[in-house]
Parts: sequence; C-alpha cells; structure tokens
Amino acid sequence: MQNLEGRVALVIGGGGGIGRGITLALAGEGMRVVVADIEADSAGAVAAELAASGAEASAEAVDVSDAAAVEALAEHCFARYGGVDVLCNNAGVVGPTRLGPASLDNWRWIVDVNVLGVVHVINAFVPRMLARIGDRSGEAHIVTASSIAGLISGLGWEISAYRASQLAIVGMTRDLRNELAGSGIGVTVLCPGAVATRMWQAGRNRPAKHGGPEAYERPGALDGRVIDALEVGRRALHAIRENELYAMTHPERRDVVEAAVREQLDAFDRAAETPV
Amino acid sequence: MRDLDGRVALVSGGGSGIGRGIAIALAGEGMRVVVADVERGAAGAVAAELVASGAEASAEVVDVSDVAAVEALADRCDERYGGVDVLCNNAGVVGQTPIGPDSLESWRWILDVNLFGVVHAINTFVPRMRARVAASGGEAHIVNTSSLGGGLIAGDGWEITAYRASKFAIVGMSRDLRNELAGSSIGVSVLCPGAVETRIWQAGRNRPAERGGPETWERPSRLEGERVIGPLEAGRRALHAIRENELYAITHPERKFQVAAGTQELLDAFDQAANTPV
Repeated sequence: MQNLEGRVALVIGGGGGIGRGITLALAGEGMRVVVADIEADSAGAVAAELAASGAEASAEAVDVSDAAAVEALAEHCFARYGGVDVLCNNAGVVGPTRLGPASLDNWRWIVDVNVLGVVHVINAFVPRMLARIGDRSGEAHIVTASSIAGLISGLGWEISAYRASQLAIVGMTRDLRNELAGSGIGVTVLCPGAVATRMWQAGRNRPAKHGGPEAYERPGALDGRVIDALEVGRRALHAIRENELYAMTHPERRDVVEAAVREQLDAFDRAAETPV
Repeated sequence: MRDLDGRVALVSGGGSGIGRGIAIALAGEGMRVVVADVERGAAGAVAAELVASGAEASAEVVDVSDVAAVEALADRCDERYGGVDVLCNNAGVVGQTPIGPDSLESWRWILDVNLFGVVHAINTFVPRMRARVAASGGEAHIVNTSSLGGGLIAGDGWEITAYRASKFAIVGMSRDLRNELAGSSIGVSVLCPGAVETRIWQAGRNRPAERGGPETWERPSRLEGERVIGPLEAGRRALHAIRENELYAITHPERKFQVAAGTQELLDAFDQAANTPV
C-alpha cells in the first residue's frame, strides 16, 4: 500500500511503546491517526504529541479483550472517518505463568488480550474494511504485532502464555493474509526482538476478574540489541508499503529462529527414517 | 523413557481417534491406561477394548476445559494408581471460525478445550509428576497433541484459524515445557499429525450450551493425494517419541516440503530486513 497520505490509520495499543512508534511513523506519512489504548490518558498524550507535530490525530479508549467495546470502536471509526485504511493490532500484555494452578489468572488474561483481542478486532473491522474498500482507495493494510519470542527455542515455561500467544498470532496472521489475498487488503505480522518499552509493566492493567493489577519483574535483561520503538514503527511502515508478510526488526536473530525451525524440519527426516 | 511396563498412562481424549490409538499403543507395552474423555460412553468403550486385549485400563470422564475437573481427575489418578507416568494431552476439538462476530463462541470453545485444556493439565499434573519422579528416581513423559497445521504450512484461509492458532500455541508450549523440564527426567513431545482417520470434525456435538451448543460442521475437503493414516499409526508414532524422548512426533514425513516452504519464507524475511534498513 503506497498511498498513505490523508488515509486513516487506527493503532490499538498506540498509547505507548511500539504502538506509539507506529503512530509516529504513520503520522509522518500524512496519515490521520486514531490512537486507541486501554489507558485513555496514554492515548490522549500520544494523540496530542502527533497533533503538536502537525498531524491529524484523535484518541480512543478500548479494551480489546471486550468484544463489544471493539465492535463499538469499529462502529465509531467508520462513522467518524468513513473507514479505516491501516489497522494496527498492537495491544498486548505479558506476565509470568509459572507451572502450577496459580498461573491460570495470567494465562486467561494474556490469552484474552493477546489472542482474543486480535480475534475481536479482525471480526469487527475486516468485514467493514472489505465492504468499504471499493469506496476508499481500493487498498488497505492490517499489521498485527507478534514477537520473535514465539519463534525461538530455549526458553522455559515462565512466559509460555506470552510466547504461545505470539506464536498463535503468527499462525493467525498467515491465515488472514491468505484469506484476504486478492481483496486489496494486505496483511503483515510484526515480529520485533528486544524493544525499549514498558511491556513488563502491563500488569498494571490486569483486570479484577483475572486477579487485579500486579507488578512483575522481567525475567533477566532483554536479550540482544535493544532498539527504539520508533525504529519498529518505521519497520512496520516499510512492511505496509511493500505488503510484506513478516516485518523483522532484528535481522541478526535469524540464526536463533533458524535453529528452532531446523529442529522441526529435522524431525520430518527422522520420522522418515524410523517407520512405526 | 524406556521402562513402560506396569507404569501408568493417562490419555485425555482417549475415547476415540488419535487418543484411542495412543491408548492401544501404550497398553500394548504393558502400561496401565486411564482413558479419559468428555464422553463417558466413549472412554468406557475404549477401556473395555483394552481390558479385552488383556491390558489393565479404566475410564474417566473429564472436560479438560474445566480446571476443577482436571484437578479432580489428578486426585483420582493419585488415589487409584499413585500418580501418572505418561500424560497424553490429546483432547481437542475443531470448528469453523469464519471472519465476523458470529464465530466468537466457537473461538472461545476451541481455545478453552485445545489451549486451556493443555494448560490445566500441565499446571495440575506436572508438579505431581515432578514429585513422583523425584521420589521414585524414575522417568516420566508428556505428549501434547498438536497438528501438522501447528507448523508454518501455508495456504489456509481464516476458516479454521482458531484450531490452527491453538495448535501453534501447543507447539510453543511444548517446546517451553521441554526446556523447563530438561534434566528432570520428564520428557516432552508434541505430536504433529497430518491427516488421520478420526471423528474430530464431529467435535461440535460436544460444544457446550454456553458456547452456542452442539453444532454440525462439514470437514473441508482433503488435499488431493493426501495420505490419511489410521489412529493406531499415530499412536505408535507417539509411543516412539516417548521411548526416544523426541520433541516432535511426525506422522507424515512426506509433508516436510510444506513446512520447509513456510519456514523458508520466515527466514527470508530476516534477510530482506537486513537488506532494507529503515
């Protein structure tokens, strides 16, 4: 999708971190940006930052784990802006999920936001985007944020809910891209490595039904080169322009991903050699 | 894990399909098999089939999406058998989830069973299995049933994405669990079958009322020339992985090219990123 100027972008989870980086990159191309976040103040602050830089921006509060709230956001965006041309599914949380029944609250919360949040957004926005694409520029794009954390091996169970959700998102995004092939809507999955964000403070927004707010410590330092959220935003922009399935921010991590997929491919060979 | 004779296996979703295949393979090694299923009749029938073949087996009813039911099952296994040595998290469902709000109940149901069912079982059984292994000095093993569709094969649309997303998640969880348990004498495998002759497309018969109630789906047509194996072969493959402590248990090696194409696309993206700084 090359023609972004004056088109409408919605960035969910846009009130901080990678989401903010994406809003800045898209606003820099002249897009009208709707900054949505579970924290109304954060969304407002980023919208104000964009407006101060000369862009057109507005703020919305949304909890993506609430299907009705997502539906209402879609209704609102299409009524107010006539459509959404670039949809960025970037809301996501992380928390520890150690072995044992006590982790179930975090499992539920993380899957509610990271997996079902994406499902709610796809279900609410894609039918509307498909219905309106003829009246818009004929092109649109969806970026869903995942992480290379889902693609590498060698970690334990502690953040398995997060990693499982990110891997699920990779699968979902690939399927969505196939589903929408030929429709004019491109699809990208953003797979950042280490980025300087407040992701590990996500527990501040854990809802009461999943145990309420909790503070977590990130297990160890971020792995590898830590980049700025603005660089991630530029990478997402690049993927939108070029309609790339995968948007990779850390090309130097190819080796660890390759090791993980190699292990899987080798298993096919071993199975061929050991009939049962 | 080599020493299976007389040890205890629990197979969830053991009342039919791949679960039954696993139950038969493990019983054939002299294991005492607990056949657990959401359908009492199905679990009972498979347990009876195993007993008729000379094995020791019992049937349990469990809805793996109900964490309390999974904990109660673990308690019963402890009481009756002193614990579980081989845990097969095999219960799983499939249903259609076309884009649009109407699919949400199916999404929830599929994640509840396929993803949370595994989470519940791992959270409940693994601490007990660790204690049992530590006390006995023996070995144990966990097999999670995913699917070839849990790998990076391309070409599907959104229609069964809930199923695929859950199976992707199970691959990731199995890798993490294997690392978590490395050195503990508890091995972990993820079973990634291709086409198997089962009733999984009739899973909608058990969709609970709060998720929309029973529904009938039609299975998407098989790929042309796709090899459909019997559940007993899938069971033997799982057994092989338990014996050899293999991470991935692959039933359809001839479909490597599909996964290879998907993974190449992923790896190429890293090269592309390196060539296009932003």
